[in-house]
Amino acid sequence: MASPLPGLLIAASVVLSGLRWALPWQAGLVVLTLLAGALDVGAPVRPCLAALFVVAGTAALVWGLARLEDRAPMPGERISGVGGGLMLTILAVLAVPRGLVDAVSRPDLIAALVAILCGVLAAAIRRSVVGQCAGLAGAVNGLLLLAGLGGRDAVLAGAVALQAALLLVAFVCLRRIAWGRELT
Amino acid sequence: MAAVSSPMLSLPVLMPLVLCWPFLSMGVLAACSPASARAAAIGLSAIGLVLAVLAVTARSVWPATPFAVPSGPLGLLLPLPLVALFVASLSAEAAPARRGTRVLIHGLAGGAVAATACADPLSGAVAIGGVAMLVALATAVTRGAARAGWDLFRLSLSGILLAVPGAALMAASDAAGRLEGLGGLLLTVGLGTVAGLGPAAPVVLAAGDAGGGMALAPVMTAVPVLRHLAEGPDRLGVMALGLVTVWLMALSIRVASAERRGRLSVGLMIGLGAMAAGAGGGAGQAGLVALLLSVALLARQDVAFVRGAPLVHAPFLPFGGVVLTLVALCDAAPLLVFPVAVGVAVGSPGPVGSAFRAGWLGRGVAGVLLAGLVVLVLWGWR
Repeated sequence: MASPLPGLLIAASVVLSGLRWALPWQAGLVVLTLLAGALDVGAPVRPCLAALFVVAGTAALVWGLARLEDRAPMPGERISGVGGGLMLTILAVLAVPRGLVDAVSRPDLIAALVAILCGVLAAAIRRSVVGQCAGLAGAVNGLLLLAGLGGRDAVLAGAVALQAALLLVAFVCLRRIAWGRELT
Repeated sequence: MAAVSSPMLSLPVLMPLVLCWPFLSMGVLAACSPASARAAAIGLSAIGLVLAVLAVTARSVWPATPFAVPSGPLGLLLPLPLVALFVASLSAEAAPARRGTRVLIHGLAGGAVAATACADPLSGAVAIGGVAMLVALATAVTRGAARAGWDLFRLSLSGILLAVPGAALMAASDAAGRLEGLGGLLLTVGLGTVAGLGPAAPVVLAAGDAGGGMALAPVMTAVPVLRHLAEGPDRLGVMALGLVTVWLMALSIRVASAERRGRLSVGLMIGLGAMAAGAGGGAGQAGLVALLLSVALLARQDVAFVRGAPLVHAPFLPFGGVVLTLVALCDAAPLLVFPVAVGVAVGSPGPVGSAFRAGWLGRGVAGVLLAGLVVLVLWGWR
């Protein structure tokens, strides 16, 4: 039976990328998709490991970002985010062929790509640094999903390293910007 | 060539030594006293450079790993980060760098050499991500540069987040057709963003102003990125990014202050390098090497030669790179020759004349650039 999880993740990525409060929901869907994938494949270690990193990274970021000031997205940012996300989703659906790709099923691959692309888009169009960080965190979760389901060890190691770098910079750098020590 | 068959040079330990030397140098420099740090940095970077040249001469390979000297003229790109490191170590006399900065730029050079030596785009993208993250982290933790560091980090992370899945899609065993095209596009856009090509160029170049050691950041990311893009599937995308970069830099140079012109000229040469990488062929690869060697020699902005630099004017090496790029474009995309030539003309407003009134290092760099063009002419365009 087809799982609704990739569809829910695509919808969440398109509509909610770049929103601080939505990050746990998107991460939760990524974790559920990874765990569902772990049940399907013979070697569940890598998906479970990726899910663990998603939970750990998101929990730390949500805790840190909750202590910073954030501006709600302007209507233009929302329209650009959702409109651009829809276009990217259509492009991803058209570009990814049917069948398995490197052991990843087509819906899962599209969901991971959409999470990455919408996260990067949100990081580009949001003016608030907190929103930008939330967008990047969503994109890293998408990369962890891709790496956990079918990628190689190098991709998983790279994704974990990127997550660690994001956490480090977010805690060192955003604190100074969002607390007004430097001009935004 | 006699050197290739020499048993000493074909030792399997040569490539591991080349890749590990800059990281070993980091440890040595961290333990050095401040009085001897400059001499140690010069010596260690010179040894690393000699090892890299030997590895290129021997076409060295690290067995059972993805690390190898790139094939053809692209192999000459391997020592370029170490050339930039050596020039930076020599030029540190004018502005004594802190120990942390010295240690950091050795790590950057080591990461750039490792990323250049990666044979496949997936491991290359991951290694380039490491270099880009190191640059952005170093900028972000610099006092007073949190905003610039965050912008650079956001840009680099976005690029790597596009490049890694792109390379993974290309490496998928059953990837073909549309999926390979999507992977190539993501890889090109992602790596181009990391190297400051296209719309990302102004942010990357501005972030380079944040710290002295970070002046080397453009060359440390551009060399491995253009090495992988030159062998990538999306040549048209690479040329498009290069053309946008050339024009962005050319228009900015017209209104830039004298201090910023050197950095913008480096950006212009990186854009031209992308055009050469996209055009491909023997002339394109030779042009890419000539331009990136010029970038490596001129990346350090406190080399006084750079400030009044003639750069793309004759008779220096970048001029040879421009000519080779135009020759390669005549074969690959003749319609792009005119906009590139006009962009170069617009971006080279200064006359030749101030090159030889610089210090001994500036005169040395000018001499190497002149000798480079002579070698290029004697060797032949193809």
